[in-house]
Amino acid sequence: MAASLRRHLTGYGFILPWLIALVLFIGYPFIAGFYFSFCDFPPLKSPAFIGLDNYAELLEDAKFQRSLGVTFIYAAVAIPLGVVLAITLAMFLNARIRGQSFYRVIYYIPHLIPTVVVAILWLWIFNPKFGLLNIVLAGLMNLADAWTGLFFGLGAETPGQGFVRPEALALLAAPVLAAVSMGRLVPQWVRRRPELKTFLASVAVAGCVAALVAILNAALHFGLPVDAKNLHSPGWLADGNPLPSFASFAPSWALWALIVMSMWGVGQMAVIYLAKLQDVPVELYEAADIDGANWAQKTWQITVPMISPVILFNVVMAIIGTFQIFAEPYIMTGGGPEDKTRFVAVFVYDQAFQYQRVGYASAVAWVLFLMIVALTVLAFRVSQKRVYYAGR
Amino acid sequence: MAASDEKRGPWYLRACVHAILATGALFFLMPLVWMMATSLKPLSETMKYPESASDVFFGVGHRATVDGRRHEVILEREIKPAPDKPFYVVRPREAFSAGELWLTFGPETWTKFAVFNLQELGQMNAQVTPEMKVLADEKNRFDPGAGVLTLHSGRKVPAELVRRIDPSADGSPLWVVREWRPADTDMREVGSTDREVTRAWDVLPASRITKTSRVIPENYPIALRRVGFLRSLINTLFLCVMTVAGAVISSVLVGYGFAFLEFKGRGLLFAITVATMMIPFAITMIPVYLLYRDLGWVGTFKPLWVTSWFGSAFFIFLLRQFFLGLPKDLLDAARIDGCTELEILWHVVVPLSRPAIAMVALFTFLGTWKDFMGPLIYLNHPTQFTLSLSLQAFYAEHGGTPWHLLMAASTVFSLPLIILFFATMKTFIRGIAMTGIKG
Amino acid sequence: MRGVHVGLAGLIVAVFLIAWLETKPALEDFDPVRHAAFKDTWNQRVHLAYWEKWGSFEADACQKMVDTFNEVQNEIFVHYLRTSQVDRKAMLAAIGRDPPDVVGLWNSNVVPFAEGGALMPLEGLMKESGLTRDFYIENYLKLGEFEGHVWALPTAVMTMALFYNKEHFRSKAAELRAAGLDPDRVPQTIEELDRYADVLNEFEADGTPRIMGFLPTEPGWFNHTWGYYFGGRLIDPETGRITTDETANVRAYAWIKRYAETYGREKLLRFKSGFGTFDSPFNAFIEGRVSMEVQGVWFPMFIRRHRPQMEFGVAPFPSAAGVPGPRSVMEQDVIGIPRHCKHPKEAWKFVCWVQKEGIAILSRLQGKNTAIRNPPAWFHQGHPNLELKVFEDLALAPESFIVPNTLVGQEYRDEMNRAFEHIWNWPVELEKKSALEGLTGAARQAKIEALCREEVARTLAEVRQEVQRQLDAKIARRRLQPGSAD
Repeated sequence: MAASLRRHLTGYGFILPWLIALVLFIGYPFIAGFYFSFCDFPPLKSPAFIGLDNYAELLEDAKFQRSLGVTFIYAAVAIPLGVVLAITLAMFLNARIRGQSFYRVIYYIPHLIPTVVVAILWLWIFNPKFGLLNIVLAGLMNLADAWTGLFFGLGAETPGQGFVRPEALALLAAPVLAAVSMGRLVPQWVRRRPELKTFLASVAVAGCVAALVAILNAALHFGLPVDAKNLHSPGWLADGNPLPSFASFAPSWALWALIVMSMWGVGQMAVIYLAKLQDVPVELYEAADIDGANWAQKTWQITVPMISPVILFNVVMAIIGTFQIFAEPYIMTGGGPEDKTRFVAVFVYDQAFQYQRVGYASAVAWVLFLMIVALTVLAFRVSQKRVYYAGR
Repeated sequence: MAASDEKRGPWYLRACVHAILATGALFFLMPLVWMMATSLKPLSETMKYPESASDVFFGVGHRATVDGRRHEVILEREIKPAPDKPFYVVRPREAFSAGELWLTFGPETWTKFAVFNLQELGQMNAQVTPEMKVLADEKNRFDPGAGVLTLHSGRKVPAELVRRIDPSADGSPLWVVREWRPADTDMREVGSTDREVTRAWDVLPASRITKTSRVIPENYPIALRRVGFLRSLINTLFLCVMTVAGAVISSVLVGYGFAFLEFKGRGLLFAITVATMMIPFAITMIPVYLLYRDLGWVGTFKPLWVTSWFGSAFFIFLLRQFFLGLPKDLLDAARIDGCTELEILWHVVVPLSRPAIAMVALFTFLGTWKDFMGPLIYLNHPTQFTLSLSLQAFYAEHGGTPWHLLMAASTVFSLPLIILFFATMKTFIRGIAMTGIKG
Repeated sequence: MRGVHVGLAGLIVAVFLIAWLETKPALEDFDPVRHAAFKDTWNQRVHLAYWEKWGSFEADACQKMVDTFNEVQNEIFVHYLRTSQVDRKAMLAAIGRDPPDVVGLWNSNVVPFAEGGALMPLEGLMKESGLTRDFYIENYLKLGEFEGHVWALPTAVMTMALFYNKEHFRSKAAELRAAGLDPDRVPQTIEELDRYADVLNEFEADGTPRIMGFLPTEPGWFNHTWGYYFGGRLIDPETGRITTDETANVRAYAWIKRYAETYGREKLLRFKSGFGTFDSPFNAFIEGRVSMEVQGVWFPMFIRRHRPQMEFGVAPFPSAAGVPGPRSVMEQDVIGIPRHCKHPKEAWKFVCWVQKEGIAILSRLQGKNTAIRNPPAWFHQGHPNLELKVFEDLALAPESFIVPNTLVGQEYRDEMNRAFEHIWNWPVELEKKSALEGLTGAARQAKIEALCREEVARTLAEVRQEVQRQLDAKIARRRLQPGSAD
């Protein structure tokens, strides 16, 4: 008996620090927070029990609803975008070309920059007058305008020429070439020379892209409302209007700025996906090749399912992370403009440390916790059928 | 699975991938390049819309020969002398107060300063001493024949003619240029007391002024001094060392306990451990803060590193999984030899787990270095600030106007992590892979 | 057998030692360079921490005031610690029970700090030390009071006035005369201000403003006070009720919206972003991009710092026609003693000295007016702010106002700022496209103005309801706390 008791004690001894942490730093605050959420508690005085008043106020608080809206909208846009971008990047980084480790390093470096530096750097980049982003955008838009003008006769320099310039008709050749080079109309003498076919294919692709860009530019010139044309120099962090402006629930310019900033850090996710990608057994791909699958089928049927556990894990962690975004909005915008970047973590911080309402802040935190649990359970449920655990 | 060249795919596809990755890399690195470019610019250049591509990355500067020496200059103002409204550069023979000069504006007249130094005039009682030059025109009238400068206040001051300014011979515009020094780029120095009175200045045709690109490494010492870099670095390093030591030791101990030791409730406790990973920081933040407040730890470093000595769910989970993958017979052999558990841990398990432990250390270091919210709410005294907090305080103080200094400080703050990354790259990548796979 | 166990035990002991020895930083570290003059009495003195804001020459002025205090007596040494975002940090420190001995705040922080129990009431100490009410200009003392207690006393005070660019006025003299305005005079009413601004505007080819005659978003800290210049109020001083959507306030913010809409919101956004702060050569007014703006008593010093040759003038900001003036909002920096600080008695000695003698030194060096009704003679001699008189007169003007202290002051300000931004950014043409269909020219303009006015009224009513609700909730909650703030 003594030996097994000794074994138990040794075990507990080893995990003693963690036990203390569980009780003192996690368990007690958890319960205390729960109690505080039913109190009115200015932090320099003592908690006074008020029952469910905090929660009732939560339901009506417009500011809280705005914060929640901001967080959810951000999550709805940034998480899928991040996942898609990260997986795409990982697939590219997985390609067998030279200099791969060099690229991996470069894409990972943004993740190493301290949060405060990232916030301040991107504040500067988003500066509407002198920031890099607007300078680059202005340059690109000028380029695009010139490009469009080349084909569509826009502007006063080409009076009497009609809307479409004759040279633009040359663009139509591109889709024709594409159809020719990929389809049935390929004449025999071309079929015999695969390099020629490839060359035609590349030219066709380039032409299609050019045509698409030109058409898009023309649409931009005439179709979209005024404020979208202001890609010439948007206000970014100072602008609280939604983009695109016809969707009132769309993220504001300021929120888009934060989303763009978070895209800069996909390197971290990409490297994780890369590791998992490299785990995928090559035999699967070889078998698919034998079956004659093309690139798209291989991706959707093999790659994505094989890395789906990581996707799920990352999505769950990202959901939890979104509810904790604090440093960037705090430093960059302080929650503005018009509360359009007041994430819930910033809201909780403000309620607790600015407005001195620890009870209310605790109630908000608990509601957030329940939401996180609900979302996580939802994520797991949804993924039941989709996530494939190899050999678990 | 032979990785032969034929399997690498046709050259045009490879070129495509290269092109895309390279473009992407360019966009990813551009912010960092911009950060460094801004950090080397003078203040005035950061607030100007760039006119050409090179202006985006390099500051525009001017050089001219003034008073016999080549100086970096700034262009103060353009002047257009007319034949009937001459300008003169004169040197007074007596001292007088700058307030006695007349400052006029408008398209035809322009500003006259005896001393082209903003600090001087900020004091409004600046003395123009005899060594200084004064630019005179019809308001502060200079009589070349009598050698007398009549100030606007009416006082007559003897002066000697240095030069009469006529329209430039080659037709290029005339500029008043003033000597510029790299320290001018520190906004704090402007308007404070002390410092020199005169800078070299002159009136030159544009053809005699050469355009250069201005790179100001002096921004770095100025920025680092203003931010309190050394102190913050020491604080941050202290925290990093304490948290890394704590995280490693506690996670190894607890992970070992969960992996190899049997005790009642082990499974349940482990499940709880994993569950706690889901608790958001916001829930425990306030009660934990109040707990530390009652312990009297707010205002010290303790809240930031003491918890790491008790373990973190994530690392415990990872290490336990890793330990479970080790060969068990080694441990059994050691147990038969009569070693205590601690000795088995130290002599057998740890040497085998170096990669995992290194990963824990690295990630903890990274996390502590980047941490902002913790220091924000627990550190109150400026001498305790970590790097993140110092930079944020510096930004908050000025509202983002000295971008060149902010970028210089940011560059220096980011460098250590990047260097660390390059030094330990393999461990990093392996650690990330482990995170992903085990997840 | 022992090695590892001993090692672990030793490590744990070392960690405990480090935790034990690690304390809050001490003020008493003697710096032989900076504190050489105080070497003899260093150890006998009580050391106080004074957290205060300010940068550049304003910080030098505060340092001089503190140095003077340290020199005239031997018992106390005050450490002036420059702190950015001092109100946030002080609140955190107060909650963490690690506050400084003396803290500098803004008057808007007085009520939140007092309500939270973070400040010590000072009226008893004032009585003992002989600081009477008539020592001060009444409004400035009122800003630090709440519900019968004095929580904070003034340090540097301010009033706001209209700054105008004489160079612009001169270069546009002909156009101004053609419009029937006098270029040698300032606008006397807000309607006149609009007409001056119309003439002074300059635009680029694509319609972006190059110079704005008047820009109400500068400096952006007092957006909640615009209503007062139209005769409105934010709070009813007698009943304490929130009165955001009074007619005068609606007029005021509709007037502001007019500035946003007239030149194109997007173009204005591009114009007004990227300006520097008040302490920057790229400030909108200092750069010469805005001809008229409302700013405070500190501004001439900063103009002279960054562009000493600038010709500018200062005059009271006009009120709307029919509204008595001149008037100005009065706000201030305050000084207080946090509760639970380490040396409250010595802290009061310092604060008392600051009131009796320090304010004059500080205000003079910072170029501001003072809260004292009868400053000493040397205050005005050689005062660096050449435009001081305008601001002093405004401080004594009967129509000058303060926003009364209220329980929801901070929330009110935040809501007003949000409302201001919303009003400024509200895209009337997109939101009300259907209402504007088919209208052009003057009819369209009129319809736009009507729609904007509706939106302004709606927004202000929303603010009023929200703030009133929060005020009522706070009053209700107060009754729950055992004992009121004592």
